[in-house]
Amino acid sequence: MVFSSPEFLFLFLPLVVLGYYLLLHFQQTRAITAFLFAASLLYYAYWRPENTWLILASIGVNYGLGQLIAQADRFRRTLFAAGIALNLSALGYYKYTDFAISSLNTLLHTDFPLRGIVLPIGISFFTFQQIAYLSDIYTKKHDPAHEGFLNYCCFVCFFPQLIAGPIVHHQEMMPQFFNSGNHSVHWENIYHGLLILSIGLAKKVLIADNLSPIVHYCFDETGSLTFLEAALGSISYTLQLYFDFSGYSDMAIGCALFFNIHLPWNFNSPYKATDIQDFWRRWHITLSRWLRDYLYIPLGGNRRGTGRTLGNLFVTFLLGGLWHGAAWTFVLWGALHGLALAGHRIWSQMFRKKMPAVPAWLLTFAFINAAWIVFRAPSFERVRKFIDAFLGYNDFLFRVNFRTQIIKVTIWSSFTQVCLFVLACLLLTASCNTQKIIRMKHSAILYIFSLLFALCCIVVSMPDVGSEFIYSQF
Amino acid sequence: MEKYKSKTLLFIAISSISAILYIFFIYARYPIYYPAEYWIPEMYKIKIAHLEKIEKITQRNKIIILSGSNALFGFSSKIFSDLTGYPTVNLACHAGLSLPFLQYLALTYAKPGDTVIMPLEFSHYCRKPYSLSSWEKNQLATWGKNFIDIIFSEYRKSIAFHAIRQYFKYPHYIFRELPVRNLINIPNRNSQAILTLTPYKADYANQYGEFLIDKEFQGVKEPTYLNKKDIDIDSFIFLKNLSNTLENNNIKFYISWPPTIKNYFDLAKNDNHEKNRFNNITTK
Repeated sequence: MVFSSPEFLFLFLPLVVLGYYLLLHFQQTRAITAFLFAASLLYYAYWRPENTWLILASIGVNYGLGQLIAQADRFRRTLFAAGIALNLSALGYYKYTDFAISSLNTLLHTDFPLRGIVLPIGISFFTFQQIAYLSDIYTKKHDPAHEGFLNYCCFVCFFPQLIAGPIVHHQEMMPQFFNSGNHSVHWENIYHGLLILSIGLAKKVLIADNLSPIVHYCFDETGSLTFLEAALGSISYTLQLYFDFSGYSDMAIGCALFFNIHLPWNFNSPYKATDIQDFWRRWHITLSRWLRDYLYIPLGGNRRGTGRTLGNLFVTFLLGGLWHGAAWTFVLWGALHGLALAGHRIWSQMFRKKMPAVPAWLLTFAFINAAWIVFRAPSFERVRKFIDAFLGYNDFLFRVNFRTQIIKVTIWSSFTQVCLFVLACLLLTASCNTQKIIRMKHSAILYIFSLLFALCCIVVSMPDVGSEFIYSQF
Repeated sequence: MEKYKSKTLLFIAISSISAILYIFFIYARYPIYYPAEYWIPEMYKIKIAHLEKIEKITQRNKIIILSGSNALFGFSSKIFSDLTGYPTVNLACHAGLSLPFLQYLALTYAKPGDTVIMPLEFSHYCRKPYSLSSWEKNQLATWGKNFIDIIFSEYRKSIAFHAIRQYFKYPHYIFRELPVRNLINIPNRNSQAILTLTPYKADYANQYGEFLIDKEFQGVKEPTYLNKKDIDIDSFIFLKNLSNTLENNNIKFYISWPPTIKNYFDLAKNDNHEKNRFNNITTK
């Protein structure tokens, strides 16, 4: 039940919102958290009922360990280590077992069978959230004494952020559930929720889903690529990923606002970044925050000299790449970003002057675009095809067959329209973002996005339309 | 707070009303013109005109042929009529139009006492009858209004939404009329078609709505189907149900064995491998 599906938009969400406001109306505020938890569990069970036990066990074990760590005088470190180990073991088992087996088979030329383990949806996200929770209790930054088990359950399970983030921090989420100020009707939240939801839906349904066929053709179907074909494919994916993921995040934020819950922003015009560090302050902000606070800083951060700092940066992003998926292409992507950040650190220390804005932006965007090719490519072989194309081993211009096929798989009736659409999407990333739109006072915003919302609702109702959110597979 | 309340209600109202208006507009404009194969409805105009002419002239039971291009080309309803003594109408056109469409033709135009013959192509047996291809949805959404009006609701929704999707691709066609010409009374219509590289034009059909070829085909020969497609059992179930329906209405129904290889009976082609494949499939 993705956010852009008719069953979510027209059935689940309205019913849950109705139930929430009915409880508010009858002043059953104590039941609200339980209701939200139950609805979230139902949402999770809809994906795969047999995995529900996993999230419940994860919640129970982590909450229990959190309480023990907070109260223990001795064995705190042991309990904390056990908690981290259990969380990472579960994540490792479900996500990386088959990856490890297939890598071993490749390395040692063996033929061990794959286990065919199905990845439980959202496991990467709720595992990270709970690791942060245990870590803060261990370092005494957080006291779990008065938060209550039900609030904790809601924090982990809250359906808008359960499947693909944002990776919320317990200290920003849990207080909202038992804040009595939130247990009333806030029309401002409902209005902004609708606006942000419609922006996110438009990003996903009108833009990302229409870039998807171009990306699929360039990355998965066609053989060789010319220079311009590779450029079109890579830029289309760069844009698709942004609009898909930021669209999802916007929808999550919008849905949460219906329940007076404020989720953190996850994007801030990342393709406007003028250096790689700036990019990671704008892209998947909650993941960057988590990696900084619970991986980079515990590794030593920048407090152990330049060499160690560079190593910590590299390792953090290497593991960050691995977190995204069980494939060596993700590891390479993470390594590339780690190297880029290390390179940026060296550059900043050696040359105190900043690069001029335009070349800085071009260089940053070119690197990000190239790295996304590695991220998306189904294999290294496909990465090589893109490299060959960019190095000029094939032709330069678009081929007739390529143009014909692209028109066939998209909604456009000419290749010029396809190119203009991609260009328009690129320009859109340079213009205002969701945060700026909702701060605009102009009444045209209401009319534009209410009409767009209607259009998106029609589009999502169509059979054979609809795709998964890219980040839900991580 | 009141400001946001009114904004929220306005947002919901505008979304709901515009969604309803948009769907109503599409429905009011239906059928919609956008690029499709309009030679097919033009061919059916010719064929149906011939059928209606037969029914006016004689009260005799007739034979209706239903299939794809295999019967459209080289099947002479005049010769069949002369041989059998029964007036014959060739309603075959394009194999992309699936079994439900052929069923619609059979149920619409066959009367009690008539005979329906389906010399189907192999591909008819390889597709699920209830799964319309996007090509077929494209055709039916633009010129298939009569067909859609009597078919199952799940088809109707799928075709209707296909039509809406096409609007995004061809918005400039929205106010144009369907370019289906009436070619029933073309003067000097040849009884034999001239085979060109693009023979699919109603202008080349004879007065019975057929392309009769009397020249050797010079184009690319198609490979065998056998190693490319699997028979779908649902097609047999569909045909069985159609057979029962027709027989309940006193309409005889025959299907012939589909061609599985190109010109199997061409003695100049002696391919044992192909013949063995054919034998294997007939024994299954």
